[in-house]
Amino acid sequence: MICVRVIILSFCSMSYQLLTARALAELTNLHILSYSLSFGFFLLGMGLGGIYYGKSLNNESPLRNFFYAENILAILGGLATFFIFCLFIFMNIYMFSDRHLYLTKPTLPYMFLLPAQLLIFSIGFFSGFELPVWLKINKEKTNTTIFRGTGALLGASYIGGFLGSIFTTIFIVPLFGLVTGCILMGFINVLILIESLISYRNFNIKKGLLLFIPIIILYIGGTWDKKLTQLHLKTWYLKTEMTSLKKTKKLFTLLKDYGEVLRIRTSYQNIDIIPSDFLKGQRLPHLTLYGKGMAFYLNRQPQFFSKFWRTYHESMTVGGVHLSGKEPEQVLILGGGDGLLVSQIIRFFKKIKTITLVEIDPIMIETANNYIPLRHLNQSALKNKKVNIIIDDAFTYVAKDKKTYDAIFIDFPFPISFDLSRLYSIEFYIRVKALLAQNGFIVLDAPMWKYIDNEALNIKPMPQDILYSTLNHAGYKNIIAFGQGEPFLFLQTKGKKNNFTDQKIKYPVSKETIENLKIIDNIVKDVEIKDEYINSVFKPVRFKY
Amino acid sequence: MAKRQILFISFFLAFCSLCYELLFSQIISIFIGSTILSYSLGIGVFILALGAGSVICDYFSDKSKNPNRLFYIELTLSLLGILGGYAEIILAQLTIFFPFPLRLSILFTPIIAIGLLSGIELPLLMGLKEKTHEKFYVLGADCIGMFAAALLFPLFFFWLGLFPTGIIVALINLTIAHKILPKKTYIKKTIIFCIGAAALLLWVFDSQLFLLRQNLFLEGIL
Repeated sequence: MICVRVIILSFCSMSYQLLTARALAELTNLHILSYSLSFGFFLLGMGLGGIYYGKSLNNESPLRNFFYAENILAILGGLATFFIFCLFIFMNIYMFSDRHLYLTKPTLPYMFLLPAQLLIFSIGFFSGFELPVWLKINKEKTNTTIFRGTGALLGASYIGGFLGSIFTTIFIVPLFGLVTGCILMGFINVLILIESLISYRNFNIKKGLLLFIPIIILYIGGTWDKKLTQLHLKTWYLKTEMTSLKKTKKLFTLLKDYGEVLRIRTSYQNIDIIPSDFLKGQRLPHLTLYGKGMAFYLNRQPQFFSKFWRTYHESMTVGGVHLSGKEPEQVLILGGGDGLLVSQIIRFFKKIKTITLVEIDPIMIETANNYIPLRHLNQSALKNKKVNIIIDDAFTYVAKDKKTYDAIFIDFPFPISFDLSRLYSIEFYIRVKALLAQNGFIVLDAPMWKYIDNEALNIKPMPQDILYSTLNHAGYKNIIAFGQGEPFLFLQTKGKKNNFTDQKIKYPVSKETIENLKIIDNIVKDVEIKDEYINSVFKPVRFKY
Repeated sequence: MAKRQILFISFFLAFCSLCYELLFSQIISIFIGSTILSYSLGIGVFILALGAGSVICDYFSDKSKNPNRLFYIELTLSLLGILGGYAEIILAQLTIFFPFPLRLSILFTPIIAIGLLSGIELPLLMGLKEKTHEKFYVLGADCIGMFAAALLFPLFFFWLGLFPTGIIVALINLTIAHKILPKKTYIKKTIIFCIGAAALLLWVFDSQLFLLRQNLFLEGIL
């Protein structure tokens, strides 16, 4: 029975750590740093907790120590992600109001990450008490001078940690989310504590009353999950900024004038949809929400806005075909699970035979097919018989596919994390090149800086330096940057530098698209192509935004 | 062995182990497309293997052989650090058409190996100290070593490149293997020197190996 308790307790501790790390990763987009730091602080806390227990508390009653340690752990661990979201909302409102600064100054996320590590350290510290306590209880129970069963308890602890990592990642996060998932673990911790006290006949009224503290706190935390998520999303998307704590109440009142942001959590990303009827009453002062209409975000990065989506997708499809001078028959789309790109390809190009769309996230496809406002925009294009949808990681798919395509459209979110940076790597571009038919072309949604001033010129490498260096080394000799407001790169392995002024655009595109379809040499004229700027999966280069 | 030396060794052993774990989690994330998945599962698998390693260590009764055992473990770990990245690329290529769970299990093999070997390391090292309170210090040095790795990997090693990182950590491992060995073990010291020299050469010619890695990655061994 002791082994079972140790497995469950270790399971809970690992879950706290992983859920907290995941919350930090989602909020900062610094996945590797968040996971590594959290694991490091957790281990440090565990080690020091074990040592502290061994040196200072070893002579005290183990059940008494266990009672207090688990009470604190249930509150700290159970509310860990709750605290982290609260901290982020606070910093978001009062400290990170200039979002551009937050993204370009690399030191700012650390201001958020480091205080959060204190919490993880504390969770580790009290988790570190668990194994020595149970070793001692086991020793007292077996009434031996040596620690019999040490190996079994140690093994149980490791197995609990392992199961915690599997279940947290695969079940707890998708089923319960980060805040409720953590609170659930807190309740399990309290249950084990109650069970242990009853089993060892150590339960009394005082302890029973004290146990109400974590139970009530966790319950209140649980009821706040949805409100907290909405508060976080609204303050983020509405770019609320406050200079004084006194105005906080007014802010919360104003936020009630807004509807709810629809959040869909998938295994790969958070899809946030701001519905078109989001603003219900008075508009927040200094609010800039890209105009009215639906807005679509992936991991809080803008994906499209109903006001501008047509310009973007028309430019990408028509612009590419115009520069190549030939309508494609076989098309490959990497990304673009919202179906908008497919809808424009079907609309403009009548010679199309097949469109293969590769999307990693099946829920994205489901949303595109079933979320009515989005389905209205994409005209149910993903259900067209010419469209072949493949659910796979684009990076892996391009290594497996043996077909060739006349046109490849690459529509990924910007490389704000390593997972996305892989899709802008030399290894990826070399593999994509192998799928290109003769005289085929690629259009890439280019994550480039649109405005380059003197200050920007001093920051090296700029995203365009990385892209051009990587593409050049991957073997693309004809690279054309186009799109004044929405920049794209047109890529061919050979061919001449066409222009939009060579002939009139023959497709029925909007006036905004015509205006957007211009060659943009100004932002790539100072591009530096260097070996050290090649983005490889084995040696990534940081994209700065 | 002096107390300070054991603490020093404990710190660096833990440092290297966690660096390897993070390094391989990172390499796996390239092939499975999710850093969150590879890091979360990597931590769990590593901890389980650490536990299995320490249980295995219980079967080693003759403590006088501990330095020798540690030497072989360090040697194996350093070879994993130098060549494990290439092995992982080959594994990823060979399993590209496998079902995802099977592919994932195979890709985690190096982390299991590292966890097992690292799990054996610490009890062996603690076995060299008789006094119980000194064992706590060894444990403390171990925790701080892992903490240092968790700090340095994302902030420094990640940007240095995954293969140079493997080589640097392997060189630290080899230095420890050298420290552990008693005097007059010339053959073993020569082996350490040869592997170290080969690792240094790989580091110096890392940019030249870039193309080889690309070919291995893009074409596979077939």
